[in-house]
Amino acid sequence: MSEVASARAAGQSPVIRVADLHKRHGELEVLRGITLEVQRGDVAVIIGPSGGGKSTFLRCLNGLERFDEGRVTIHGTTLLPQMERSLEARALREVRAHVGMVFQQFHLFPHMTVLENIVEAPIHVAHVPPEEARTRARTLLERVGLAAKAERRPGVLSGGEQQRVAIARALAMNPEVILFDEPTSSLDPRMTGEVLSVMSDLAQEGLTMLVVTHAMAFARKAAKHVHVFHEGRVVESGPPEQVLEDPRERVTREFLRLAWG
Amino acid sequence: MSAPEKAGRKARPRRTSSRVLSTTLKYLCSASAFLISGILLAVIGYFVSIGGSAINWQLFSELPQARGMEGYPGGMLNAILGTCVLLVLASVVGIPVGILTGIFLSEYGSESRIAAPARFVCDVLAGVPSIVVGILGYELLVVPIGHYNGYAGAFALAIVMIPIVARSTEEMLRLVPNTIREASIALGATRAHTIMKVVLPAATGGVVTGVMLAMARVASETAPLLFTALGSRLLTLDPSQPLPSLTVHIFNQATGPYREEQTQAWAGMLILILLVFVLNLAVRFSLRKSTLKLG
Ligand SMILES: Nc1ncnc2c1ncn2[C@@H]1O[C@H](COP(=O)(O)OP(=O)(O)OP(=O)(O)O)[C@@H](O)[C@H]1O
Ligand SMILES: [Mg+2]
Repeated sequence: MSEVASARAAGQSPVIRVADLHKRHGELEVLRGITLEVQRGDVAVIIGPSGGGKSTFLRCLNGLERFDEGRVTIHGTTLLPQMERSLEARALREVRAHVGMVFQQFHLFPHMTVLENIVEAPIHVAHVPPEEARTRARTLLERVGLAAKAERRPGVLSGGEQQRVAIARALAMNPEVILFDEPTSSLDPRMTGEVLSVMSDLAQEGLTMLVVTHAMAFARKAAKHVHVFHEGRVVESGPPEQVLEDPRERVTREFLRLAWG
Repeated sequence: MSAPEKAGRKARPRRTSSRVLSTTLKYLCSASAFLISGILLAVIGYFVSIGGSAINWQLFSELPQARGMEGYPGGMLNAILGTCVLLVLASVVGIPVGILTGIFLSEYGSESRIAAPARFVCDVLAGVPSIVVGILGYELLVVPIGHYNGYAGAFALAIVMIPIVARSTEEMLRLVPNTIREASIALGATRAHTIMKVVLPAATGGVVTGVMLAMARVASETAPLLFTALGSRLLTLDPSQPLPSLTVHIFNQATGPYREEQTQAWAGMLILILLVFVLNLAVRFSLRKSTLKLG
């Protein structure tokens, strides 16, 4: 029995199901048929050399980018390359309501305080009563260790603090899954540690996560599956102890040699 | 001579010359900054030296008097109020239309075929001599109504304002990184919400500065008003009638034959500069306050 089939037999359902995803930028075929599933409660890590299409893949998952072939199903909502406009708008709204995203460069709203950054979407998108949203935001800030910074502007926070605010902002929408695109790549080692420890906690609490990262120790510890992207394909997939310690593909071996330094 | 020594000898003069260059550039920049401040101070100083003596409370509290009447030459209260009325009316139309146009050009421009022509029209409009805009106001709002009126003046001023506000808004919105828009979209916000609550507020400072410049510019416009609002010696706030304005009042006094009125024209210019200055400060202050409230 295949792994997927056994998972289904066990009553699990994939939160993310991607089938044969293709994406072109003009002549360049950035994604060449990606098929991948992420089960509820799992942490999946994507690694691979630069330019392999990792960011593009994540952006296709929540409709920041259109794709050319294949299908993406997230929490029961399907995105297709050619959709009727109103259907697409509805599908994107559904998908984005269930998917959080954390970027390498944080992308906090610079003119709002930390607290306002977090409550903006719950109040205006999910229509949570403002008081309730603020209470919950404070709880989330406590959880990422930043209760004292609620009234600050993002500009005065360190990179690690900004990234933890970004995580709290994503969590505030109660997403089914959070996509992380190299969340620690622009941070120094100490700040990286702060952010990864928050992410590990979330993994432990059963949040579904899809993480593009070069932080191998995190992948080793938290990931259920590791997928290696290379030139728009998944060249290798499997549990971290296999992919990271006994890789089958030459690309993976090379990438890991560089990643571990 | 060994190779490193040679390299060192060769590198040194270049380093010196680049240092000279950077020092020169720095001094040129500061000199220019001083020059521009100097010019401003000189202009204001000149106005004060000539018109300063004519500045008095009367200027702000009385109407102009005809020569030979008691209290001649009187004040320019009507002109000050008229300029305020024109400015408010022009802003009520010009600022929203300008900002919305700027939003269109920046946020929807890439997917719309009329964006490039619209941008071109804006640039042309910004370059059209304002007297031409005055004639437009005359044809559209004076001829049909049958007499000169304030609405026509405000309309002409709004036309001057719109391209300035639109283009500066566009430039400021373009400075907001795309990633911020994506972060908002990724949180499930609509395009409109993202623009109004994230992009525009992130660019507030720049957008307001553009609006300010446009207001200062139209507050000091004379030509578009000559064929439209015309001017008046009466105290009136009614834009359906000929409406006085500071600039036209100054123009009439300065070009007139009487020494008292010419002196008063200088004082009027001082008041105009003061008005622009106060406008500037008021906006900056309110901006600071609203930022504090957010923070
Ligand atoms: N808007 C675009 N237009 C054209 N090409 C693009 C665009 N966005 C991405 N690409 C190209 O697509 C390829 C994949 O990019 P992507 O950012 O997904 O790679 P990545 O795996 O995330 O790399 P990295 O590890 O450096 O972040 C790259 O060759 C990139 O140049
Ligand atoms: Mg990337």
